[in-house]
Amino acid sequence: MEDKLLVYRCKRGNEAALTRIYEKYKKNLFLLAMTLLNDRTASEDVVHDVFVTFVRRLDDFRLTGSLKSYLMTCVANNARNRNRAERLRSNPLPDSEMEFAGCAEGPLETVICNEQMERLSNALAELSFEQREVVMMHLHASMTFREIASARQISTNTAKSRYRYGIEKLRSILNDGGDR
Amino acid sequence: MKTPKEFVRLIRESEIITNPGVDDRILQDARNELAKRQQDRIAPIGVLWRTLMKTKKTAFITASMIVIVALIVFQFVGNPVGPGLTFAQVIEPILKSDIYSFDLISGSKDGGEPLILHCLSKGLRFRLEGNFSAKLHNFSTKMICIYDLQNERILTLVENGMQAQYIGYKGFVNPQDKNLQNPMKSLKDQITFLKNDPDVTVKELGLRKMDGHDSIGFYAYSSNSDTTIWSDVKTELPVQIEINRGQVHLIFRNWKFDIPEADDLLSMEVPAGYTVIGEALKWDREEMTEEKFIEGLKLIAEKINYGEFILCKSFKDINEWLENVFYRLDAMNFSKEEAVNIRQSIDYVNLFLSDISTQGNWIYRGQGVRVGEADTPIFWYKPKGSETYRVIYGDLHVENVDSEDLPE
Repeated sequence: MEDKLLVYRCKRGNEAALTRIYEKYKKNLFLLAMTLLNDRTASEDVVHDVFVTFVRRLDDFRLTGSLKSYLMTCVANNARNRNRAERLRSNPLPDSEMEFAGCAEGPLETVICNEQMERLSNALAELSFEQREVVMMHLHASMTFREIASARQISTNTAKSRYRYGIEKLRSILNDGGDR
Repeated sequence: MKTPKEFVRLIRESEIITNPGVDDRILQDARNELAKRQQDRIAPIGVLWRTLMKTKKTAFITASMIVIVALIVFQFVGNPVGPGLTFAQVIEPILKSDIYSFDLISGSKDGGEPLILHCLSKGLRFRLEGNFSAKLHNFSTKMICIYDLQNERILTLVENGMQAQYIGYKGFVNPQDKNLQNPMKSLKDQITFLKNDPDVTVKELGLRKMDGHDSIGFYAYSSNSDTTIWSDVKTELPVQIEINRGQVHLIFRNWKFDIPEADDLLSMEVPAGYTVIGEALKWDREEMTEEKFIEGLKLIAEKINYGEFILCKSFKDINEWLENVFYRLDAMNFSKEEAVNIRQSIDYVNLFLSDISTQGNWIYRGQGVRVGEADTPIFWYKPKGSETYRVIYGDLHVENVDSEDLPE
């Protein structure tokens, strides 16, 4: 109910409501973007784009389900587009060979991650983008496989299958690493 | 498939702390977008009124065009769309009363100067009155529209020039109820319908001082509109009702239920001093169709714009559109019959735009496009209840298009 009211107020131009939505979901959105992209700057850009686009399209926006799921689906879509564009542009290393660079220290450390976040991202980097996406949308965004399938325009069975393979791989990775 | 506990724990314990600089950047851009959006929000009725006043055309055109505006307003009042009207304790005084008046405010504080109309209703008569000015043309006047619902006639009075005009209409009053064109009955029917509509959600907003009244508020929303109602806790009379629907934003306030002079104010006789001008016009709501709209676009383009569609980027720019059209119409020497025909087309184009503007957004991209350009989309909108958009192309064929496939 609160989200519907917040959206309504946003539609009326209420900045406080806008800020509330951002503060309420920013950690979820950043976490998803970081785990999908393994890149701090790109994650910032994704969250930025999703949030600004959300405001831009408020007129047509109708909240039928969870706002959190909606925003996280937008993040996943945006991350997917960036991932695809990046692949086309630079033909980078396969996901499994990517290092987690998201929280590397730098002169301008705009996003700070704890150790668990690093381990999470490193583990997920072993998965394909599609597997990461389904695993995080299911476990982190609490979306059902049907919702994920609908958002990704894949069959429910495909979503479940990606999840199963992703989880099997994660189990193997985490077991190999022991209980740290 | 059992999820590894370690992984679930990692998700739960993962933390991301964003630098305030990041938050500021994102929020600032979002706020800018919000501000820009608010500026773009328009008061279509106000725009139309201002357009009429800015259009330096004859009183004949002005007086008749204001009826379009009045009809739009009327659709909101006589055929209520606000789910907030389901709140029995708030709406009951309106239902019980045969006479009431209120001020209707179109537009918001952020959306430019609002338009204020004083509205009065008794039985099957309805009256709108407002003061309007056009700074550019140093022109201002009081305008009045009186509706006779029983006989489907409207009397328009323009004080500046003391001109009056009768206009016939058909189908604008509760088109669902063809047996009895009684706005009070249709209001009750609408309330009953909304009460049973599972899509309508109501939330109490608590107590607040509104215009000196201790008021209780309710917020109700459905898929196509939202309504906020503030009602005096002691008298249970409405203090303010606010409706948002599509591009239309309306506020009803200053409600009164005791108006002794109502009969005089609602007389359909032309008051002393006014001169009746022009021929009686007629509008039929059944003809406010996409087909008529397309015919109108084509006719206007071919007859008065050398085969190109007229400029109009958005509802906000409809004033430019009208000025352009009327300017050209005046400049060309059409026969009386042809001029009336074109006028009728212009009216239907405007009525159609006004109608769909209460349902949602539309986009016009016809500027500079020639009639016949089959690959160029010139207009698209989402009809009420439709999942897809209707896209009209330069050769005036129409396609159903999913939102993600709309033109950029």
